[in-house]
Amino acid sequence: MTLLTVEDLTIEFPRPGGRSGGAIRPVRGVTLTVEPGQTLGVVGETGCGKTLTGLAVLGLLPPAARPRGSIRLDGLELLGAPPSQLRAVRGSAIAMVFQNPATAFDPVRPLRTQFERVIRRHRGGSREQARARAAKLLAEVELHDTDRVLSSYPHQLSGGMLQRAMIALALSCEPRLIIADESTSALDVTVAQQVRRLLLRLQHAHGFGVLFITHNLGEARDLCDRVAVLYAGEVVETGPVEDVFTAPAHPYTKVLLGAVPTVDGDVAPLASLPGEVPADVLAVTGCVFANRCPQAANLCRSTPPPARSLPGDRRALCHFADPEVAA
Amino acid sequence: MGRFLLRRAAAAAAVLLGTTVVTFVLARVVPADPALAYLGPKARPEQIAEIHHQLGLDQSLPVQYARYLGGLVRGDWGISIGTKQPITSEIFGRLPATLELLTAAMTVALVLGIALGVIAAVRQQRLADHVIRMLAIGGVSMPAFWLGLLLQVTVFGQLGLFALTGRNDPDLEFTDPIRKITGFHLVDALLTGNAPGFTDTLTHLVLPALTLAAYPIGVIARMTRASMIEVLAADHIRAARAYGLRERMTVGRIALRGALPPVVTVAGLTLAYSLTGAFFVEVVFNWPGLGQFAATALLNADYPAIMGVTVLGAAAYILVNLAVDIVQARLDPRVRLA
Amino acid sequence: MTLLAATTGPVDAVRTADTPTPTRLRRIVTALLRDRLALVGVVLVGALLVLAVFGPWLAPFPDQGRGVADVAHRNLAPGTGGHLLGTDPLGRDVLSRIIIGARPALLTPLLTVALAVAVGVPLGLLAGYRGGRLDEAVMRIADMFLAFPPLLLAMVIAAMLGPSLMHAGIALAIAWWPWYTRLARGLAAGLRDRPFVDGARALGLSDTTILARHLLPNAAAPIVVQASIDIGTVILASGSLAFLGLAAQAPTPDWGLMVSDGRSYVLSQWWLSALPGAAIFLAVLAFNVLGDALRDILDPRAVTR
Repeated sequence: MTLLTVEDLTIEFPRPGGRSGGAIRPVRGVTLTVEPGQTLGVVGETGCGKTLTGLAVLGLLPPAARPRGSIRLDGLELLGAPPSQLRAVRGSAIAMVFQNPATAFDPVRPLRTQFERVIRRHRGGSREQARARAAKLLAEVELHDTDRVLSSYPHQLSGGMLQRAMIALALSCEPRLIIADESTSALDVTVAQQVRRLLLRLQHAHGFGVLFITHNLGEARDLCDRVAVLYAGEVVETGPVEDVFTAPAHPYTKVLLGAVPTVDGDVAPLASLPGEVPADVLAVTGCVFANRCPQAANLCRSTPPPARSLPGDRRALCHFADPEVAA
Repeated sequence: MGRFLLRRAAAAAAVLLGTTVVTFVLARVVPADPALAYLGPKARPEQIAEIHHQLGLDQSLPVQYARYLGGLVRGDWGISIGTKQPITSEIFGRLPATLELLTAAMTVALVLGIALGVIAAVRQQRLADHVIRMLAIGGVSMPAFWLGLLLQVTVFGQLGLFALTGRNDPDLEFTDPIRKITGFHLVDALLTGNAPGFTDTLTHLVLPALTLAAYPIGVIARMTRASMIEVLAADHIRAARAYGLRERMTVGRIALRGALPPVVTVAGLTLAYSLTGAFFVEVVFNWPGLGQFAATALLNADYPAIMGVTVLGAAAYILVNLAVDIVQARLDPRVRLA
Repeated sequence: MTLLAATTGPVDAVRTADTPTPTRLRRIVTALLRDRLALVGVVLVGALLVLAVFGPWLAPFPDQGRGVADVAHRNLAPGTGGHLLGTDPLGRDVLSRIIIGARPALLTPLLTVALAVAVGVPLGLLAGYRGGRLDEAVMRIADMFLAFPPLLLAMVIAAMLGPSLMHAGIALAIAWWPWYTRLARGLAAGLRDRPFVDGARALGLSDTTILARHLLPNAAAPIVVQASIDIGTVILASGSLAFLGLAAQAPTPDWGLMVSDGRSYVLSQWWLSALPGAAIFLAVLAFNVLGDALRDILDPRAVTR
């Protein structure tokens, strides 16, 4: 059974300052699936809607947001579920690993307290039991000086140590799904590499699924089984990571892969492309990428592209997605 | 932590020394002759010279300052011109009454101010927030002496609640006298099981304490709100929610705890401010404390008393700031490194 | 008193070079008018300034306002005998005394803050810009004054100078200047090494010119915010001095003094104290609201909103 199913997710905000009932939709019609024990990479540039999608799964969108569609974890509908039910799921069935471990921990409490809070919230038990479990988890993420780490404040530990601790915290209640939002981008290259390896090893041992949000294609390739490419709030292409990366079907994916050559694999700003992401995507009649697409035809500017299924369990949102390429 | 404390204490001592220079200079630039104040206008020249000699006024300024400083340290703060009593006994005899008032007011202010600030932050831009912000800015704009009078007119005058003036009913001295232990009547009455004394003290304490609390409530509520709003937007609060912690824990403990340091700073500042505010409240409510003594001294140009009160005020101000630094370091582990 | 400022977050933040231009001024004015609470502040401050300037012509009984007694109409309740706010034990119209009293009540604090700014800001800018020994000396002296609760210091100085309105103003200015020195010093120290200041130095401009033309405009916004907030606080402080009898003396119409005089009648003739006290409250409130709004506009990074 599929672990996480996001179906036709649209997130709408009332337009800030607008009075005419206008709205913005930074995420539109996003469909994703994560299988148990597998990793789905969600890649795209800053502002493409990756983070909002992750927050929607956790039910942590800003209060003004109005999400539509369906988000199911093991068949259980999360969108519109009562807050208490969501709170029980968060941290236990779904855990999140944040981008910046230095700010994601409470700065005025030692790590011990933060482990105790989460563990006792979801599994009950005494402080001592929680502490013992925390120590075991820290050893598992290769932080062996557990006593010192647990009694440290966040500012006393390095970014790499904190991110390991964050992963330990995420594991603390045996989650089935981990959402990792740019979890290595605040770390330096070698530490990021170590954290990725750690995550893979733990996934092997525990069998959780991962929703891996990143703007780093190299990282996505290292870690993920499948990948979903987001552009301007839409999934433009999705499929097995190797297939997509070796033979991209969507022009945007092609451009992204062409833009890879920075040393650490970060997506450079798409300077090679003319134009910008449309400021008001709802005003676009055709394909949202048409204004920058090297292959755009008249059809692209007038009609939104259909989601084309391609062989090999792939899909692309393009009039001209080439089935030959995928085959 | 130890070195941090030592450094702060040394700095505080240096500043305190500076304040004695200011009070000394102030007292010396005064045009009036203190000898005349003691002796009255009909004093003969040789009497004046005698007093000048006694007070050391015939010596050079540095010597005078050294004598003044020596006196301060020995506890010889001079004789009040008004009451002809030693300043130290006047001041320290009245201090407990003022401290009791201050403690009551600050307790009310901290509890109410923080509670209102948290509510405003959580209900940001909603009705409760607007109402609380208006109350807060009203509180910081309110002259204490005016609020005191308003409470006397309305709560006592119209509703007949609590007491108009004083610290205790004069009859209490005969019916149920409060035995002095700590000097705080409320505490002493409680310790000695003096129920009528306790009720009477509380009845007298409510209005002046509320009056004195208005300003700190406003300041603390504003700061708590601002600080809470900032912390609530922080990553670690999002993380706490992402880990399913309950809102009571997230807002009431994690966020509030993180928002406390700046609140402690302004609470310290308002406490120091309320030392002066107590002067006015004590005058309005005829509260037998230091403020009333100081107000009388100020009006009657009782220089030794004024200097004594000023040095004490500055010392208290510096001590409060030192205490704030220490609490700050305990609250925020990052400060200890600085 | 910088307590209000303390709630505003970092005041020594340094902003980029932007001098007040007509468009910027217009932006500030529009922003003030848009915020409803700020609008209340603007209207109140305006009304008070009108009273301060035209009070003698607006008061129904200007002579009584200045202190002339009318023993035939003593202790009238509000609304009786043509006295909207009643009369005091000497038969003087309370409304007239409040209106006539607006001028000293507002003028003293305005002049006091102006004096404190005029002394404190140049000293602070110079100390921050030059650094070194001068900085040390100025700031150590300022620290001595900052070690006192400001109102206490003002009360003591006023008492020592002898009670009068002018002495009260001087005392308040002495208590307030170091706060501006500290603020201006922080701002100047932050601006000192900015390229535009280096450029001015390279052009061989004198220190005075650099301070006045380059540092002051860039430090102006936080100083204006602080001053507008302080006006409210100083109105409160000068009212407090007057209440204790350390400022204006009878028969001058002074709000603080009127509250104090009316105290003996508080339970029978509440209006004698309550109304002039309300005038102080409204004046302080008006400037506080205005100062808050100005801070939100000029210093958007401050946390309070």
